[in-house]
Amino acid sequence: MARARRSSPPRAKPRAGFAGKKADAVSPPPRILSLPAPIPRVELRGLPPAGAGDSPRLGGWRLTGEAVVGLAHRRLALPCQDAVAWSETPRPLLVLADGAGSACVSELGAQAITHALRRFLASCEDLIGPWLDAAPPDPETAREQTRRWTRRLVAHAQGVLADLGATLRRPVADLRATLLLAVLGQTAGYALKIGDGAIVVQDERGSHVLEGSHDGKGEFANETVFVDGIDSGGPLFAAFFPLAGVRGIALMSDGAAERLVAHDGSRVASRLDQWFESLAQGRLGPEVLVRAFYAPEMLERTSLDDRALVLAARAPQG
Amino acid sequence: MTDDLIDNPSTRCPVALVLDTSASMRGEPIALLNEGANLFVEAVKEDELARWSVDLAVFTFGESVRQVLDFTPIEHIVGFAPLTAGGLTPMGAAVNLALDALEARKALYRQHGVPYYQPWLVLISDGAPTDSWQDAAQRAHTLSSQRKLLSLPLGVEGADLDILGQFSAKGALRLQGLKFREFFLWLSASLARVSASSSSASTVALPPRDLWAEVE
Repeated sequence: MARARRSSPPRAKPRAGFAGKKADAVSPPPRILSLPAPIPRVELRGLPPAGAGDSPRLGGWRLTGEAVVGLAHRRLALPCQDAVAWSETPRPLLVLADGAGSACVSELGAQAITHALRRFLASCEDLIGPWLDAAPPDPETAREQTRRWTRRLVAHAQGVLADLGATLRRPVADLRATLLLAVLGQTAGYALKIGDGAIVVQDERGSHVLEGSHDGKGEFANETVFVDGIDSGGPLFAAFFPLAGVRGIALMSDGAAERLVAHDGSRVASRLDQWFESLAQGRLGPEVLVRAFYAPEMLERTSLDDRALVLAARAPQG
Repeated sequence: MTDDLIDNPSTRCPVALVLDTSASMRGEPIALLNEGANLFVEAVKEDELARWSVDLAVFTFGESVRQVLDFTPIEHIVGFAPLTAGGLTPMGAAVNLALDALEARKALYRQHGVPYYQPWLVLISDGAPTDSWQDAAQRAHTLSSQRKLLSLPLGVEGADLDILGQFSAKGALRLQGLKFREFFLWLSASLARVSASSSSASTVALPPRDLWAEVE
């Protein structure tokens, strides 16, 4: 195999020194005028990509998502305050945040949380693999692991908002947002929900709201809790759940849930089943969701709020 | 609505109008109040969200305390029969009746899984109560301070604003002259904003009140 010829770093030509001194043809060039040598590139061959740990890539899952501005916000020239982020590798990660309507720059908080948590989780792959890919632990261990991850994620999300608030010289309340998150492994998944919105799972029972995840509103319809307003003990929902038989999982903001999930959590629209199936077959992208969110039947008698959905699906196993 | 979507009930906003129909309201005040109330219904019905959201009940206090309209989706209200004025000002009993009705309405929503916004109590009077009003005022004030009720006492010229103010944690407002029309249009616009507030809104900025409220 031919080897690439290694070129030497260019050297600066001798030049006149300071204070009008005559250049000395035999003296070495002044170092201050030397161009720096290229930094040797360190090859990471044989090492996994950053954050990949030792986990195998989890195949079979496809993900997509979208967040669109609601017509109520459009009329007021407000931006979309919902945000989504997801990644398929090294494992499926879904994150969604809904910025508070009463907070003036909550879209920035929602975007910051979603992107930061996706990156944070991807960087924790060496810890997540043993947690979600291994055989399920005993219930007490599972509870402790769930508590630990919840504390970690809540602290990280709150820290992201605090940092952003400090950067923008604004109170964190101006950035406040809800949060929904899911991480999938080979044997189990983890879900976190702070505030309203919905987490839907599709399994052999069909599509249904993830058990225990439905609450999230206050007494009144326009009240909920936000990431900055809780401690790691609650009020929030966090769950470690088996993935056997699960073919799809979806996170959605309350605006999207208006037409996709019954208010009491008892029913899920069959439209979601269609979307899970299409996604598993690689036929669902953001453009389908955008068209659906602005369709008349999705708008009628709704709050015209922003709508966000991020979902993962895989073909039935075995 | 297609059958592959969920047809959720609209989020409701129960509104109780508690109106003074005592003798002092005779003449132009009651006429303008009637006009304003009808205008309010029509204005709310023109809003694409509020028309599905507002459930309205009307209570009067004068010759007697009456619930002239039980909670009804505003979309179904054609108009009001004109109210007539006469008698004393049994405000306390009327407010208690309205608060009881609001509680019952919320219980009904919960029973049927219907989400709802913070209820509104709109109390309009041009005088001072002639019955025992303190308990009702304390009840409304407590709910208001707990943010479980948006209590809006409105005094027309001649009203005892100190007493009316005790029905809300935020005090009472005085109507400029007889600007019922402007007030009810503001109320309609406010309910439109509430009806458009999402579950993450937590607070709703209401429109300015300078067209009808005297400077505080």
